[in-house]
Amino acid sequence: MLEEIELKGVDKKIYKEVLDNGLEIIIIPNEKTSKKKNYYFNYGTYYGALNNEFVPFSSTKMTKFPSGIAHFLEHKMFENEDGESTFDLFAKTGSYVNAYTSYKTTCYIVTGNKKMEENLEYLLTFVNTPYFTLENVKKEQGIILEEVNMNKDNPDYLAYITLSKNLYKNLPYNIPVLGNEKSIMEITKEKLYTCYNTFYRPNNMFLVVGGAVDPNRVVNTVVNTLKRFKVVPSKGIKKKEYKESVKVVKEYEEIKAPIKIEKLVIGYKMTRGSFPIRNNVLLNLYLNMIISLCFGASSLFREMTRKRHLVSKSGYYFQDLGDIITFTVEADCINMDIYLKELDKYLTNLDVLEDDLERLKKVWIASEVIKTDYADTLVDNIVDDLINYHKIVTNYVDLIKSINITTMKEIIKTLDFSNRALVKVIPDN
Amino acid sequence: MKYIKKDQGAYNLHIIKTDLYKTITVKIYFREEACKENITKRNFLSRIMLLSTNDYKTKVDLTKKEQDLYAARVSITNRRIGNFLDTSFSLNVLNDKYTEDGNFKESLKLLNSIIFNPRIENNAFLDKEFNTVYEEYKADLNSIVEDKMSYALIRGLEVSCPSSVTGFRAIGYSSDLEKITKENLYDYYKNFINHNSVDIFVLGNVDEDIISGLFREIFKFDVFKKPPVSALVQIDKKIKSKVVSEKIKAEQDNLVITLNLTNLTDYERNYPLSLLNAILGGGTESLLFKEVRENNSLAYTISSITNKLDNLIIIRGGITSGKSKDAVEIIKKILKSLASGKISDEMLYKAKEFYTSAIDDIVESTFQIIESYYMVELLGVDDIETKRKKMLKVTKEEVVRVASKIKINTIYVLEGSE
Repeated sequence: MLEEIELKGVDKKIYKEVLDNGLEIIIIPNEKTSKKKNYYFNYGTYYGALNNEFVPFSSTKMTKFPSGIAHFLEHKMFENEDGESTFDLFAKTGSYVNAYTSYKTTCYIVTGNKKMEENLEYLLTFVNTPYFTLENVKKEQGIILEEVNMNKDNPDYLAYITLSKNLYKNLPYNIPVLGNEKSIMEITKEKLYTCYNTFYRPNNMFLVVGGAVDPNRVVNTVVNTLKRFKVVPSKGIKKKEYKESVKVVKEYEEIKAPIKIEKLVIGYKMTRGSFPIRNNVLLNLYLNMIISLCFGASSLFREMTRKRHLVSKSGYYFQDLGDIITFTVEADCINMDIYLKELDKYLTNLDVLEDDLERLKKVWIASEVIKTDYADTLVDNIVDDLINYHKIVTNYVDLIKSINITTMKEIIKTLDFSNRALVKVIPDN
Repeated sequence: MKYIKKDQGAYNLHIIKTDLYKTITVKIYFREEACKENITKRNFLSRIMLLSTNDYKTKVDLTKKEQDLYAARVSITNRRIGNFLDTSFSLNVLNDKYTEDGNFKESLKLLNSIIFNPRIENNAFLDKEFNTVYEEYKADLNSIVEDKMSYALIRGLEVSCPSSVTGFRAIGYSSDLEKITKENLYDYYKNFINHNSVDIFVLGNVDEDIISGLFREIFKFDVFKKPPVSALVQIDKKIKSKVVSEKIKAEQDNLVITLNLTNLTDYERNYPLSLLNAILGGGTESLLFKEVRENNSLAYTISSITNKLDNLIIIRGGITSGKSKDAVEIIKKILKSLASGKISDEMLYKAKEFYTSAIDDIVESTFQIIESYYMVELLGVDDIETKRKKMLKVTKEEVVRVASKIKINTIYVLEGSE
């Protein structure tokens, strides 16, 4: 049965159904009067670069797989036994198909505005019919190595992967989602089938659909299409759990690259347990708001770095990695030494004003309302919620309203900037 | 959606009434004939204009004002479009219905302050702000080589069209930056405000009379209208095909191939050319993607785009180091087969589907809707529905005719090396 769910405070209804096989379907239709024609599908599995060690479906033994295999598998799902390219299938209706792999998931996305049911059927079909051969695996190694090379030519990426390697000892965040040259060459069709059969199970997957769609027709199409395949729910997947200490692996590294402006990336590791809020959704809202207040365009720190010509670009963000929370700083520096000094000083005295907080809350609530105009954004947001929290968050407006200065100050007090890894990228000539 | 165009004297006000969005979007376009010296100044100017105004003396004040207006967002974009330098100021804010009465008017005043009330002293921009933008912009110009793909495109166009606007660097030039002073920047600002052509677009659930009244009240444009220049760039037909390669420290080769389109009619430029490009390198079902990436594993990215107003198709790819020649051979073969008419009905059908889907996609974004009306205004192209009808009628022969007018201008390789 389709369950109607209200996104509170933004006047938007969405629908949810969990099929007998465990597949969770979320549907976010446009308003009935809307003349927009686009629809957006996101069909994903809770399987990404983090899941490199697990007990395969037909085994009882914890097994390690080559890094980058989830991403490789994503590429290979586009292959069909009859030789017809998946891209061509969607091109017949001028639709767009793509996929992406992150640490936590692999997602297949389609955007189109014609023949919704047909395209939904195509999507479900190609993701449910793996076809790997010796030749097509070999061919893909060439393409993916080129993707690796493309990333290597990007100094920001280089800085980021060096930082990740120096931050995490055990968590697979220390290896790029794509893997590396060696691990990519270790991938075989057998290993791909094993990973596929373990993680591409309906109760380990979700389908989020938004835009010009009718919820009942979506569910009917899914049910009828999946009948054609042997989709069997898994009996629970045993994945390796990683213990990660808050201590960083390497505190300092300098790398050289063909650049003109020096780059600086810093990661600060903190333990999740030390924060005074248990609710992850709320904690992440607080943390993101702290970023905006302390480092956004309206912050005095930004103004100072601008006026004193310390950086030409800078970014600040938190990452929630379960037991560990990381705060990352990325900057293109005009004057790195002074910037670093000022940053250190600023971090030990972080503070926010109530007026600024209240103003920002107004902005965030307005943004929640604006979002409802964009079906693609709503789909993306719900996919993010599923990936991060394994549920849909329906009360963002209420949560934002509940944010208060006392709790925020408590959280700021908890922030511990003592465990840090720092990477400098300097010009190679 | 209802479209109304009003002559407000110094500018045209275009109002697009729709209830598809809870926001109101305003876009103010300024344009002038492209000249190389002005690119850097114009970029500089838009950076400094977003930093502060006389009413909001710092970036912090300006941002807080945007926040007070319920997440009003002002941004500026610069681009070259054919023979024009085109700058647009955008404002996106929730309709008063979702905020409070007068919020939109206040937002317009903020936009007006950014455009008409910059911080000026003694006929010059302020020292401090000037230096801030100068240092940041200098750093950005210095680091253009870091993004190899964009840098290859910049260089590829420069060597392809050294003496035409097509070769201009949209990001600007370090050598021109050095010549900018806070005084001559202010002179350029005055010229920008007083002599650029202006078009204003408003999209949202609005009343046209109220909007037109608000603009008359708040924005005091006094633009001297210039006779129009054609946007279309003429190509130098004497250009000989050339191969240029440059080395850079990188893992990949970055390939840029420019294709000249000679003697195209307006119809060919607006219709068969779009289909030809979709077939050649428009997406993942295109010939370039299939042959260069899928069948030969030579690339991860490979595609083509058209710069219609420059009479140009640009092919770009990140190619396995040392394999650019192989990729070029494959691409030449594809071009030859297209010109000889090897286009199947299915390819043409897919290209048309690709195009009509793109047309239906326009309504999904306020900026896309405004842009499509702006192109009608600026270039006199057909409106969306006419485009759809005409595109569906394009024949294979017409596409092949355009393919046969392609001439390779330059094969440029930014070679990766140790």
